[in-house]
Amino acid sequence: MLLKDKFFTVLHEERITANDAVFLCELKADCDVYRGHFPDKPVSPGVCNIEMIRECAEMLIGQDLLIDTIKQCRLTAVASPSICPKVDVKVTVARVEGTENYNIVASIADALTSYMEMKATLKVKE
Amino acid sequence: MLYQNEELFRLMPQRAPIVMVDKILDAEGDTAHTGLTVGPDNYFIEEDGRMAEPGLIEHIAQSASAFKGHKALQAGEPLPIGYIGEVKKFHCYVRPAIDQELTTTITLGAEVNGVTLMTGETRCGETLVADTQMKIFVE
Repeated sequence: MLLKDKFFTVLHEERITANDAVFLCELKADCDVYRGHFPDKPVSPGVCNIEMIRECAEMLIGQDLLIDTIKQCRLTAVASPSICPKVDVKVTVARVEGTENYNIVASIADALTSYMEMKATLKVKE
Repeated sequence: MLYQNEELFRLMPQRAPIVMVDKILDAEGDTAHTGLTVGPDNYFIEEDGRMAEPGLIEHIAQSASAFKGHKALQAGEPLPIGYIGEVKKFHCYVRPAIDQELTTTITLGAEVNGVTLMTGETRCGETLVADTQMKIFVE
């Protein structure tokens, strides 16, 4: 995985059902991405949060997944390791009937703030 | 070619290791063409040598950010720092490989309360790589 154990680490994983899990993730302040995003002002890149969701979905399903389509992804607050050192990444998946694809609904939030809400279609990597 | 490589740093705040646009080919009105050569050290290259899809979103967002920076520079205004507010109808058709040359068309739409609507379409040669709509908000 591209960003697991680099941009984030999974501290705890709660499986609610086979299709539904919450990953408690730590945003790593020492990740090299903050050298450039931005110099002297670390802000978690929204696209890294999207990638974190993809990697959590891969852990939930147990297969490598590609992002086919993002129907909508709302970035509702600025995230950084100092603003939100720990976040819940909630992922719900549903198989698209007759295909190898999954529709996912995901969010990134802590107790006070929602940072991201995403609806996407992921396909199993061949 | 209007800007390439470090010349773009006048227009955008992102720096290594997450610089995801390396040229503005042309810009006129609300449309610009930008580019990226996918280097082996690109931040989003996966184990199979392909760029992960969020890298394409970042490429399109930074292309728009640099384009807005170019417009601000021309107007004598301070450099804006833009954040992605929303990604909508993103579709990845193929993940780019190392050494491929991406070319992206950015079209800026209406700006309302500091939020700019835009569309981006990325190609490699004639092949469509990704397209998306986005809302960028400026600090």
